[in-house]
Amino acid sequence: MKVYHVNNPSSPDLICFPVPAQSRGCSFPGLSWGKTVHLEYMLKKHEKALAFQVVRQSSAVSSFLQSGNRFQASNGLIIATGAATHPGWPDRGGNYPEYMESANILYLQGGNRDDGKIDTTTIDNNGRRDRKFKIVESALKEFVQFIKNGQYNRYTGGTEEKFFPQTGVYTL
Amino acid sequence: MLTIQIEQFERGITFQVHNQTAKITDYVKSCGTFRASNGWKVVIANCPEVDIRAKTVYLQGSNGRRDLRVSRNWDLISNYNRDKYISQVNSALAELANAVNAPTWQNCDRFFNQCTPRTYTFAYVN
Repeated sequence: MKVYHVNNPSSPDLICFPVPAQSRGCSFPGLSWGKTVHLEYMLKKHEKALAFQVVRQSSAVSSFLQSGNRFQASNGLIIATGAATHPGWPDRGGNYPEYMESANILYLQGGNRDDGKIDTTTIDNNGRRDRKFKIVESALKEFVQFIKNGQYNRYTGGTEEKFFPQTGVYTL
Repeated sequence: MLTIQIEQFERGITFQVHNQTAKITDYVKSCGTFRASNGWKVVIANCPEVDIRAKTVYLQGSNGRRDLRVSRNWDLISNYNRDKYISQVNSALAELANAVNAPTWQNCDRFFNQCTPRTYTFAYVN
């Protein structure tokens, strides 16, 4: 399992590709040349609570997460999945989209019947709720960018469609 | 005053009661079940909830942390249905607020003798 950090200032020169098993490029079944990466979600504020739902998630996003990868945004939030399709995932939860505020983890869709579930998180005051809202929002934007950055160059070294990140520094 | 929040999600809704005065609670409790003209019912319960299958809205009744519980419904058939349910819930609660203003006994399962005109407002937060 790898955790990817974006723009980690402590080691800015390290670059890794999303799937380290490949020397160059990565094989994500859902990602092909020019394909748009979608991560459509709804995050809404309630009184002392947040409600979160993933509406649409590209298979590229699922493939990345289900390969055992996690993504950690610059604000510290970890994006992961604990899908039924990924047995042996060590964490509790994650079988459906869920924001685990105490663990600082945001689980996305894992490809099972609960993918459309609306998750709610109770937060003790609205000031904290607003801060958490921004953390989730910003982490998801970074994550989509992370996936997209790997989209536009393709390594054509085999029959599988492969790609590698075009821009950005991802530190392992 | 009854302040609620209903949010639209993809084929889903969330529902939360922000504020509910004792008079609303007393009125619905006195009724037992408030029956709106669109077929929806309003009941006091331990925690707020919208039960779409039972066409019932449960309002605050615990005076505790559970009063702010966010009720969720997802995997609805379509967004059209979602919007229809939202409209029906709003309509039923607006009718409740009006009934509390000028009680209409036919909406109540149980009659009660005291009938004092009161002023309530119904607030909808979106």
